[in-house]
Amino acid sequence: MGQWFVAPILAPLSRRLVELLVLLFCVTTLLFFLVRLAGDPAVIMAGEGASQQDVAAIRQFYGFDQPLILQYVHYLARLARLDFGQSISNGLPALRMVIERLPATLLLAIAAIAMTAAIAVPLGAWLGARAERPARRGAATLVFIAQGIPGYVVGLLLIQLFAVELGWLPSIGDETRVSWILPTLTLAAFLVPKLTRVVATSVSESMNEDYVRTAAALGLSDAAILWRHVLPNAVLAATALLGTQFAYLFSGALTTEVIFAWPGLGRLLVNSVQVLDFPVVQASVFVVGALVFAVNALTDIALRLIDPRLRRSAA
Amino acid sequence: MTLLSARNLTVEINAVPIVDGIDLDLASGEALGIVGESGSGKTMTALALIGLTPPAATIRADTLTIAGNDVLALDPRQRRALGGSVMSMVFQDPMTGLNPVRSIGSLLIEAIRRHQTIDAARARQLGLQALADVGIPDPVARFSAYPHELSGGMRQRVMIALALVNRPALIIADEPTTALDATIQAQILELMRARMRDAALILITHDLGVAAELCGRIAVMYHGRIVEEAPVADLLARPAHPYTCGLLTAVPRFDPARPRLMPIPGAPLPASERLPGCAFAPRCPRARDICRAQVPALAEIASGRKVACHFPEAVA
Repeated sequence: MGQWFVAPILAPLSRRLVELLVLLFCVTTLLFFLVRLAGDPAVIMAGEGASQQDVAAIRQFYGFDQPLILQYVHYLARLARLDFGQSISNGLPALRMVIERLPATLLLAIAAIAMTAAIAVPLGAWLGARAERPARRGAATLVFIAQGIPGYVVGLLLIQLFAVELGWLPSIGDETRVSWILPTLTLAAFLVPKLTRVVATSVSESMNEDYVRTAAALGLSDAAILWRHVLPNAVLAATALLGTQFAYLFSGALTTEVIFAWPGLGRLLVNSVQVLDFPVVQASVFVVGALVFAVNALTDIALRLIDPRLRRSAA
Repeated sequence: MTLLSARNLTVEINAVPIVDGIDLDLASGEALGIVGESGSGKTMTALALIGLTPPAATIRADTLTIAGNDVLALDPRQRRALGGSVMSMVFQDPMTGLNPVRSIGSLLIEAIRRHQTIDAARARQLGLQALADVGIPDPVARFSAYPHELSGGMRQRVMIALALVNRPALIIADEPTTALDATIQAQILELMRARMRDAALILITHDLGVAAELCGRIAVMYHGRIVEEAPVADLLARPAHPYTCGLLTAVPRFDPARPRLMPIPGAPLPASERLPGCAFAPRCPRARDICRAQVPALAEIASGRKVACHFPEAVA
């Protein structure tokens, strides 16, 4: 019992760990040079009307006057100890600021994914089961169009309708339970069309499989075939997609958090970029990179546990 | 006891008759082989009987009764419910015919409880028995196995177990051994012969040898029609239709008396093409003017023997 559970997880995990280190190295290196192209943080930190001497002093204090390559080596050395330095805006440790913001973002993402699955799986199953019928073809076209609507447009429309016109729901913050509704909807609106289309395609392909014909020949009803034979296969494909979509979900979370003043990582990142608070930017991107990677790895493991073909062949 | 009776059974796809007005009769416990080349309409006949023709197909018949059910009068739900209980089907490819994410046991229990109101524990017993009956060693271990963990031959045994588990009166087997290795084929044929004594069998195959192993009677199909029907021994010994003669000489055999394999010249007519006369006439060595002008009717030429040919071989 224990072996099929552990072996398929441990083997890919060690390989993944190496991939993670390479990924984080590349991301942080890229970021280091990108941030330094964006502007001179010393000028911003010194504020308007500061003298040349003040700016020079700040540069020296933060080591911005040293050769770039030397700064980079220092940066890497501190990175190895997970030391991202202090926020330039408020002097707090950058990594701690990021980690404090993480739960709000993660919970929002989880709520959005749960809502997405609850809508997209039944909808996709319905669309895919008889994809050739006119009504479903029409609905599939609507889903396709919906996929092209940017997330912030949905967010702004929802605010206009439910917060401004009707006044039913708050549009900012996360203090009350109802204030979760609009941001979750906005994020889900971003994911539902994608997942619906994947489930629909997968269901419609599975409907032509030989095992569906076997089930029908055994007298099973269409509903039983759809739910017990086709969907388990389709959901495997959908799970794989959900994992890879997490990175996109995060980019959606960025705009959503800004629109709804959500106290999460996305808003922190946007604010930090605006004031060139690059210790915080670097820490944020580092954590997001690690997070996206972790979710992909977890999806991989989940698939190995759900799919009987992967479960034992990996052992 | 007549189990199956079909009169003028026709299956059309986009107004093209794939099965063109055939008659079938089957008594309880009888085994009928339907033999023909790809595209002859034999598989579509099987799918029409079990009600699994593609959505674009329309089925018509003067009568179609299976185990007392007027099949064409049933609504789709009732029609579907006959599958697995009154009749069931074994398909050609056991590698793709079993759901990859469902365990063997869950498939069996689902099939059993679809047609029998019994609890899960009893269904499990029946399922284990069904696996044992088709010669699967260690049924308890196989019960929780997934299809990919079994060999092709084992999977086909599972397919047969699924088809037999509710004791149907009619089993339709469509090329049940074609996808298997030769040694496994023999085992599966042996198993089918042993296990299907109680049920009637319709065996769809392109292989006259396989049909001869299992069936008492053989119907030869060509271009959507039955061109010859006869008891298996008579058909093999004295075929009446030139097409059947061609099929027999095209079967490879270790027989020094027979000099060489004789392929039938030409290719079968596409289903979408209709001729005013016999569809086999373009390939027939004996075709004359009337063959090209008039479709021969399936007529009795001797006791139990029917042939649709203007100039059949003498069989008496």
